[in-house]
Amino acid sequence: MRHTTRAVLGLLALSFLPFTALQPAAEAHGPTRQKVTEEIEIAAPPAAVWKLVGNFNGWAEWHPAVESSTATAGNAVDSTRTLMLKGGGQLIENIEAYDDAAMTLKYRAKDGGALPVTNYSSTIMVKPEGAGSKVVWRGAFYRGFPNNDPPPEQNDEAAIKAVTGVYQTGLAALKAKLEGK
Amino acid sequence: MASPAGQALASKSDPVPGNAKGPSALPAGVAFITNQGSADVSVVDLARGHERLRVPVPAGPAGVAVDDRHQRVFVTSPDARTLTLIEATDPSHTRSLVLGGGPVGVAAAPDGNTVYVADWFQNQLVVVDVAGWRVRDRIAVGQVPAGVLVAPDGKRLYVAERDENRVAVIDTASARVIGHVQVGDHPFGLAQDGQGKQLYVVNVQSDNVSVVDTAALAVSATVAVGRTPYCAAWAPDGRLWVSNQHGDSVSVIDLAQSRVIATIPTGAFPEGIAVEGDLVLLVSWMDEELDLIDRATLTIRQRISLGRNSRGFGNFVWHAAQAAP
Repeated sequence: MRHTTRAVLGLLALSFLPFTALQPAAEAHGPTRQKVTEEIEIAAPPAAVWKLVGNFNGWAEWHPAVESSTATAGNAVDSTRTLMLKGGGQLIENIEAYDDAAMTLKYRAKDGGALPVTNYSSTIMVKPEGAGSKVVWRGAFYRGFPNNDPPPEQNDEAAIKAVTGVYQTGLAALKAKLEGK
Repeated sequence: MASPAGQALASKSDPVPGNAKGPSALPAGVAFITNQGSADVSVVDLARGHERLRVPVPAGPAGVAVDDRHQRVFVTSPDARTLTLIEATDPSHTRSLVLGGGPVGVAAAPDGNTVYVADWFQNQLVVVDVAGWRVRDRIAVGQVPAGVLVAPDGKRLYVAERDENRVAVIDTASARVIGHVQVGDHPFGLAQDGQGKQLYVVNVQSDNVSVVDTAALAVSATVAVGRTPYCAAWAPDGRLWVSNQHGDSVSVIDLAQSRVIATIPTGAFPEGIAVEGDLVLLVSWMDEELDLIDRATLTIRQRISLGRNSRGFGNFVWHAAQAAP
């Protein structure tokens, strides 16, 4: 996949909008949980892919949306990272499970943040695929608006679009970096 | 857009794959599983281990309550804001009632004529008269009601008030809240033992289960389980099975010891759970499958594909032993 920098930033502008101010305090979430699964094949050994993906505090190295990252405890369970995003805003996420052997990382976002979602959790895993690897990235979340009749920018479609954008741009950039393109 | 509350929708006559057979065709041991993403209910024959048919229902079905004595299945659809009745012996016959709000948790009373629906958005319990197919009453409860359970004798109703971190106890005869029990953080799914002496409350945020003595209305034990637990099912051998959404697993609790004795990896993001004979049935939302777990060996015996975003939140099993003749 080829993404010019401009195209990537365009997608990110769609993905990350400063919704923090609109997030209400914890209350009922939307009626229907949504999910997104994105996959990509990469011509690189799984260990090389996992070295990037499995470094919880190192996503600024490969995800084009991430400006910088800090984490409280590296790859340990319950480690919390703060991602500062290029489009403005931040995401605060903590590790729920980390399996080096299975090359699987599960993390969960603090409610709010830069994405128009709530109750967001995610799993990213690296698997062998032919001579290379496959990365599978899954997310589960509710839309940003917690009640009935959401505004368009906080409905189910907007939530799915935003998370899909994050995964697609991230995976494309990961592939480009690892394949040296 | 949703129709006005209280309006009954026309029966659906859409053909369903596999074709519903006549009333005599329903075998013992059938699961009715809500598929929130595909707006239908998977009807799974447990003995044969396959999906018999899929029944279309209004958008976003989540909650389910099987009343096997009266051969009915009730389904909530929070997106369409409806309650749907499915005739269990002829699932192609359905009718839906617009309730408004956010109907999620649902339970059927033993008398066969009352269904209780938790309205997630309007903090009330909607009481539906089945014969008249209309709303009979609305009972105000605390913030964000989720799971609903009727005691075996039908006299009490329990409602998990998620954002109050407590369970409301309602006297069904007077339709009044008669007490509360403070539990863990964000209670969601509810279960009970066969006699209703203990209530099991699954606390999503504190990763534990509160065991409530229903006579004293007090927590008698708190048991730590996996990450983000959701629902529980009681088994007659004194074990409680708990689905862990973020753990991709089930925890098996020995109730006598008040501790987890096994944790079994399952399909991802497991939600609805039930006990049927020597099986535990577990619905995986992410993998869209029903896992049949052998209660004795603690291993998955079979995985059956379901519709999209399968949930099965509530009592989703038509039990072999209780099925009407």
